[in-house]
Amino acid sequence: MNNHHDSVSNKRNNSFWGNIFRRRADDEDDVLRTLKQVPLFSNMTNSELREFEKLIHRRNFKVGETIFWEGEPGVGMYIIQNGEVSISKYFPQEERKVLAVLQNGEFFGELALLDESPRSATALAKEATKILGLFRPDLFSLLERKPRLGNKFLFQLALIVGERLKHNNSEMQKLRAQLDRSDIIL
Amino acid sequence: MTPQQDVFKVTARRKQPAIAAPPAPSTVPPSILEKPEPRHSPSLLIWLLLGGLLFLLPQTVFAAIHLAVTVTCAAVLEPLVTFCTRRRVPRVFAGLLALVLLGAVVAGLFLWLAPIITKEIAKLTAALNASAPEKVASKLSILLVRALPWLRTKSILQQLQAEFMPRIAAFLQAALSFEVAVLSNVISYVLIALGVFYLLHWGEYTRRKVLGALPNRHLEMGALFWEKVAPRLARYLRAQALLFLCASLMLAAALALMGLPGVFIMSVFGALALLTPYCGALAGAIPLAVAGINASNSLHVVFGVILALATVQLLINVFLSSSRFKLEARLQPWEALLALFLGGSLGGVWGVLLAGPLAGLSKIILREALKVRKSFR
Repeated sequence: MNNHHDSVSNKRNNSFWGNIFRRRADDEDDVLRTLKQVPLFSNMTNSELREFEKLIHRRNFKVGETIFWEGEPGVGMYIIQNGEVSISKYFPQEERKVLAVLQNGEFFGELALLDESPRSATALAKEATKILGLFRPDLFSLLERKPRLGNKFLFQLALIVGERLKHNNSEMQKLRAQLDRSDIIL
Repeated sequence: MTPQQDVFKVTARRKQPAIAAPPAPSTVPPSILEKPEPRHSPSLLIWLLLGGLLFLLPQTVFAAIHLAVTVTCAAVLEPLVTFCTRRRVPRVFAGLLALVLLGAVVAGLFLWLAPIITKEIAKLTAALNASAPEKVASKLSILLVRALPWLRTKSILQQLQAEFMPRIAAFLQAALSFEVAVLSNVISYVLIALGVFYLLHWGEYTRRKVLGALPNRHLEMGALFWEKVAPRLARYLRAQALLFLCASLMLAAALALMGLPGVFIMSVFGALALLTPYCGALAGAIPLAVAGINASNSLHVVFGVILALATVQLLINVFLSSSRFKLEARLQPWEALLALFLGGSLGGVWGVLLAGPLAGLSKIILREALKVRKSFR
């Protein structure tokens, strides 16, 4: 019995077969639970979350497997259901730097939902990771079919992007103040 | 100027040290984060796929035509379904409504056009068979037997067998073939209707399932490919349907003015041929001219038919092809010629008629696939 359970578990953890064969019922609950943690979906009802659950791509990544590469065109955002993802960036003068390590319930790559600009960093699974992907074509199709729900999501996305912009502005002002105090000629 | 713009404008000029320190040798081992080179050329795979498709096409022409009709109908009806779902009609009902509408249009057209088509087929068959050498030979033999009755040396039983058995066999064959044809048509319509409904209702679901089967490293590539290709294909198919409608109407008017038989069927064939740019008019002119010359025994008809096709193609090129959707797949002359040759050798008459649209579809798919593949290297 235990062996059988292990084999099923191994099969599900395998990144290739796990993406094709998965159990539905417990998956749906897990996905809804994860979506509720994400600020983008925080003001949505259960029925609205179920609409998004239908659009979500569930993927399993192995340790060290790349989710997307820096410079490649972005297609969508990812939410970490279970595991750890490192976000790193290549700097010409330096080696590759890890910018952040994201964990359960955190999301990344959300700007790719708005435009096709290349990915600004590389995302890599630090351990066996379950990820939920929401892609631009799905969002656009939702906007066509259910504009209210799509707009609600976009509004929330705009709020979060705006918050980040404000945060970045304040960080830049701090940096500017530091530059002013330092020995750098402007 | 806001502070952040100011910061962006700044170009930091650091105080240079007197002697620049040499850069330290890098001791960092090659990281797993470095992107690997692609292991094989993707073009080989594309060529293999194309070769496989060309090999399989003759065996699957019937299925391919059904699939093409299904996808075109779905693409044409999709805006209607989207319009309904925006007005809060559930997608199932919207799909069914579109399907009922399509069925009503097809049934109406069939009821209206069936008698015309039957008459036209009879006229065209008569016109085409009038000059067939076998027909002439059989007419000659009948005349000879009438003139010289002693040529009939067989017994009455043999004569009965000889005369009636083939007729009975032919009747049975015709009856059976008629039933088989009706059944086959009914199955075709039902399959096409089911396919259209499936694509309208579960198209998105199927797309997600297909994407879900892709390996992780090709997932974004697949999603981007679909995002690029699907709207273009839908626009292209809608544009081809519109072009076909306009061309067939114009051709029907021109052929009716010339007084040719089988105006409806000939205009449909001609319009299908005109969907292939550059050489479509010529490919369409051949069967039309043969039918015309048989019907009227005049060479003027040939020139008239060619003129009509050329004029319609010119009108299409000037007024319709400039619209944005036709430009999705602008075939080069050599591509159109190659498509005609391939279509003719693989799919016969249908292959020639559908060569243009199929080549356009293939070009859109291949071009986008290569673009997407390149952007992911």
